Amino acid sequence: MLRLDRLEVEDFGPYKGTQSFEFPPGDGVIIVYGENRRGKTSLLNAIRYALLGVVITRGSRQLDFHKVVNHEARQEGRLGFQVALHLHFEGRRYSLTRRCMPRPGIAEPSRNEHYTHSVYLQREGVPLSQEETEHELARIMPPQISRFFLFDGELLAEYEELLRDREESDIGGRIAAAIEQILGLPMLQNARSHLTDLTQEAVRDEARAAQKDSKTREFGTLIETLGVQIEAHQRTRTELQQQLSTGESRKLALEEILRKTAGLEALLDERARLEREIEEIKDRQADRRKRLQNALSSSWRGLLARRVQPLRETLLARRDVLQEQVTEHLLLAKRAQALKDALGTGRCPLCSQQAAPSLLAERIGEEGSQAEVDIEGVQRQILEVEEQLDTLSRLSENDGAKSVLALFDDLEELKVDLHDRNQRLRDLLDEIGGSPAEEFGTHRKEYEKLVGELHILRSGIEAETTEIATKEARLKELQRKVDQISGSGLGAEREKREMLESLATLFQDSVALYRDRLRERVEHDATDLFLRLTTEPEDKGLRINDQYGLTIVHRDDTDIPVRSSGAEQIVALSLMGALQKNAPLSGPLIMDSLLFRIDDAHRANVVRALPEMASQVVVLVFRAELDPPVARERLNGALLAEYELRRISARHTDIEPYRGG
Amino acid sequence: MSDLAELLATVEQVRAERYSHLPADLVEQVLRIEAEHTDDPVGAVRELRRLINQRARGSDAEA
Repeated sequence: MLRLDRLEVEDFGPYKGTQSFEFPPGDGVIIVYGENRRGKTSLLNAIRYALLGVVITRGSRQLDFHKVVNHEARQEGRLGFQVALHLHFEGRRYSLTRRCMPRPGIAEPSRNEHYTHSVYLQREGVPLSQEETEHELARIMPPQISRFFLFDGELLAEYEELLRDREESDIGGRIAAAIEQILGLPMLQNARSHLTDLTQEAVRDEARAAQKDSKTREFGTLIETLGVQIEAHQRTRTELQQQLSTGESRKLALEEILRKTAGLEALLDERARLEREIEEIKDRQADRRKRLQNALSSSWRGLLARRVQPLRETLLARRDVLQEQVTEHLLLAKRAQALKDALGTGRCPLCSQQAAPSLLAERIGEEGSQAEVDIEGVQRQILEVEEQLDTLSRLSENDGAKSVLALFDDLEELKVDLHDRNQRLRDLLDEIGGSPAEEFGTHRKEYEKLVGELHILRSGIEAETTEIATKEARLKELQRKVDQISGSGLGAEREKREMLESLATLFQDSVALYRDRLRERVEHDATDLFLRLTTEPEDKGLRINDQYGLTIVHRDDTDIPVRSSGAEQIVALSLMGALQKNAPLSGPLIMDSLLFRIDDAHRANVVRALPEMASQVVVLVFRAELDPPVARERLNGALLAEYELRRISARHTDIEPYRGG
Repeated sequence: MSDLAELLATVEQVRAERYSHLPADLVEQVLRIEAEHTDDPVGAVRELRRLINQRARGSDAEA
């Protein structure tokens, strides 16, 4: 069993300088209070780094080491970090130190390649070699089962895979494998695997023996060739399965990232639209300004407009008068001519009555004198007036005042539009934060490509499996023929091969039976814990499938689909508690962000159940998540210690005993 | 290390039901070799090979 005694961190995350954290002796719960961004996840990561050499962040991604170094320490010239973990394992005392330092000559490390790592392990005060260190660490905390001890509530994605109860889930299969490792199944699986390898050897030996006899030589050669081919297919299949496994992990991580950034795509689209609109507005502003410039270049005419207009009106009036004079002159001239013509006829040109010549002559005299106007002078004046009017018109035409005003209005409107869009863009950029569009797009492309690749891998695995089955059937056929032909000639080789085949199949069947028993036990213990955590009286328990997928069972024996993340967390906790109880490989349970997704009633139940989930439980919470007096009351004597992550600055946190109320 | 007795019981149950032609002590020896070589797969295979060869030679001698 693994038990932690003391943690020392140096310049790790927000922990500047050297700080330590004691795990008190005895079974019970340690609570660490820390508000957001104070370093709760970093504390979990420090333990993870010491045991496994990795630091992970959201989306199960590994954090680059230069981002782990305390910022203020880096400003002071300390570019590396260190974690020391003192523990007991299987009754023996260990001191583990893992250090991450820049390589010589690297003044500003910015990539993982710029760092070098060293790990030192002492057992009972005696330093171990590197090989022994690696071997012991793999025993103390196998990486594939670390998730069951270092629980980050924010990384529930993997558990959610389990809880979807998907028979075909590849990730579920890998988690099932991890669970089975913790429960001791590997010994049977190793036996099966080793016996299978020895069976293949025996097949080859038998084939070679058959080749020594002329009656069975050809078959022996065929069997040997088939054996080699089958092994090659098996190796290929294993490689493909490993690639599939790696790909599934990455797919899961990407799904988590994309899920969390689902809203980001819409924001990025809006950002692109706003940027386009802003550019269009700027273009329109430039156009308006240019037109305004042109309009203003002739706008001086507008200044004259007021003065020009009265002049123009005067001239127009003058022209009218002059034109009237011309018109009158023409009329009089016409009448005078008519009267002259009437002298000849002796009749009035208007009423056609007899008119006396003297009267007509008198009228001719009157009208003639009236018509004696300097009509040419008047016409000249009219021309002058027309020219003046023409000049004034040119001065006042297109004075641009209206268009200038319209352009000013336009510009004002565009300014307001631009301001609004810029404001919205600023808000949007705040919302988008540090997630550049390129990164989102890259993740999306990577995900789509990966889905395609995984499909190809599965098809490849299926093809290899089919090929193996076909060749194995053919091999069996050939072996039967050899048995028939050779009689007792190959008795020893055959017996060995048959013994190994039976043993391999026996252990194959034993794996299946043991797995069923393990699942039954885990289901029983998980149900037991779940019923203590749930507040729903109609819950009957949990049901576990082949892949350790879990569903909640109603008292009428139907399944209740698990939907909320709070419910999933309760179920995940039940599974972890059951695994801890059944595992020969038990250890501390360190849980970050355990309670924030669940309601008060469930929270109360979880806190009360904590001491029974593992012998050493460390819970990292913020005060609103778990009220200290309430925690003390619910845990009673099981509360071993309380710590606080105290803010010194935005980038410096100290670990201290909790002194609050 | 898992509970060896429990594993033995499981394997013995399967042997008795479906593989009774395999000797019980052989099966037990296989499991013990695996238990003793959990971190040494090469050693496990070597010991298993030796065990099977002994059994095969023993059968030959009997024959």
